[in-house]
Amino acid sequence: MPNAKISRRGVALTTAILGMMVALLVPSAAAAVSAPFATVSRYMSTLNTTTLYNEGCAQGTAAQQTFVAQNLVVVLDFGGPVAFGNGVYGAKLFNGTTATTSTIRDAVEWYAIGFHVCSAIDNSDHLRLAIGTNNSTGAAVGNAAGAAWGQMINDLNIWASVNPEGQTVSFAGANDIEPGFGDPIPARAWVTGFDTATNWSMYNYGSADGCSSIQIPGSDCGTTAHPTWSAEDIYYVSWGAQPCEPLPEVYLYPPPGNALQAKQWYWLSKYSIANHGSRFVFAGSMTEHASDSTTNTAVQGWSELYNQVNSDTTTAGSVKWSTDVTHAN
Amino acid sequence: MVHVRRRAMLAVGCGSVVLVLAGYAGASSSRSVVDPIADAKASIEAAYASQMANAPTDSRPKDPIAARPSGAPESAAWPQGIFDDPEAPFPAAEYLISNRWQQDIGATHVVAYAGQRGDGSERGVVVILVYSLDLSSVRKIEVGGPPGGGPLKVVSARGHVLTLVGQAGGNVALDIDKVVAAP
Repeated sequence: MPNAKISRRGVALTTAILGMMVALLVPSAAAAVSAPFATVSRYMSTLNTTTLYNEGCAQGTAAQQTFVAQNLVVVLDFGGPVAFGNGVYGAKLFNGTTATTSTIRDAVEWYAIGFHVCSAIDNSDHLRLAIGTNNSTGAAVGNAAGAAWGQMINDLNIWASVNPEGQTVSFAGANDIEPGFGDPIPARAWVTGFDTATNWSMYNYGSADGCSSIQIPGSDCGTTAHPTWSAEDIYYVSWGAQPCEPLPEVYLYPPPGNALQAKQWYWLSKYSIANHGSRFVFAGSMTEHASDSTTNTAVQGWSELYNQVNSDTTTAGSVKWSTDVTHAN
Repeated sequence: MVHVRRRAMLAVGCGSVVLVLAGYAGASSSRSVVDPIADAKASIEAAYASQMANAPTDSRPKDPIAARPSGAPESAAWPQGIFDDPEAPFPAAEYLISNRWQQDIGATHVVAYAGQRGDGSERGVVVILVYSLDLSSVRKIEVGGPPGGGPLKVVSARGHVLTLVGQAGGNVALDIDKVVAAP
């Protein structure tokens, strides 16, 4: 173990020095960059504290075993919003049960404890734990649900600020916003509610269904069931609203290698530049290889997105994180 | 030990500054320097960094056994029956779900989602997830509906045999036991 610690610090120092040298020698984003360490995100079907602790510990152990200080994101997807009445909101887990935001908050803290205890002994591994929901549950998706989710993120970060786990774990909101799940007005309202309630981040790990993959999109986004999505809607819920950052799905749809989703997000960044003077800075990429082995691996998905946005100097930039979602808990 | 870590953090910090400046220089020729939207995100990141830096330290050694909550993982609650809501752990571009049927079968939790493929073909589909009782492993099985039948919906279940109806109106029977048992 002592050798591992020394090795870890040595690698961290070497990495930092190399980073400085590379930055000085390579002035553009064209340098070859390898994919970041991919984490395991999860569709949640349980709130069992031991399970969540074990999942956090497993992720912390995996980070620790890389022997390099890791900066990671994990999305725990608790399902779509649910209204319990009297201003109480929560989510519908994927086993069909429901839970309030306070119950979810209490369970999530155990994931953070597990990660903290099992990650690097010097607390050099950092995790952004993103608590996810989606826009598929109809009338419950809206401003009040977003505000409740934002308040839960506030509470979690307050907890992190007064506990040692806060040295390694911080919390953000997340939302799998997909045009195919519902109309844009409720999704936008959810984001506005979240923004009103909190100053912390919100990662959109959804899709841009229907948006053009060959030119700047306009009003052509959306699906047959939900056709009113525009590029402006996707922009708002992914980048335009202050907490939002895109961490999009980069799966694989036929034909293989077409990078359809990466291209859609590249063109949405072009839309943002043309209409708002701001390129998207992608927080990361989301893949689902653990859920469907016929789709992109984490490296493939991240590479598709990174290569696409860096094929153009106006959209070029980092794609910080990589995560792959599983149904397992 | 602390000094070594501080030197590492200083080096990382210097590297980050240089990287940021290099990236800024590379991008400045092609876009406006002023980007209040990106600046707002950067201020949130700064708040995260401050929170982590100021979190209390713990002098106790990390002990994964002592930190673990009491009690073993329990078998997750698994409501049984037919549920008429479209939520499912799949992207809409892959499947559009009408409803689902859930049941415990042997030592597994099973969910059968009925709907259609999300690729615009409107081909009916049933997607079955078979979870181990502790949820640590999951198997996914996809069963295509009849051509031209349209989206499927579960209308009844007799034991583990589902009756599904397509948009065209015809009924389809699906024996979940047989599907799950198949290699």
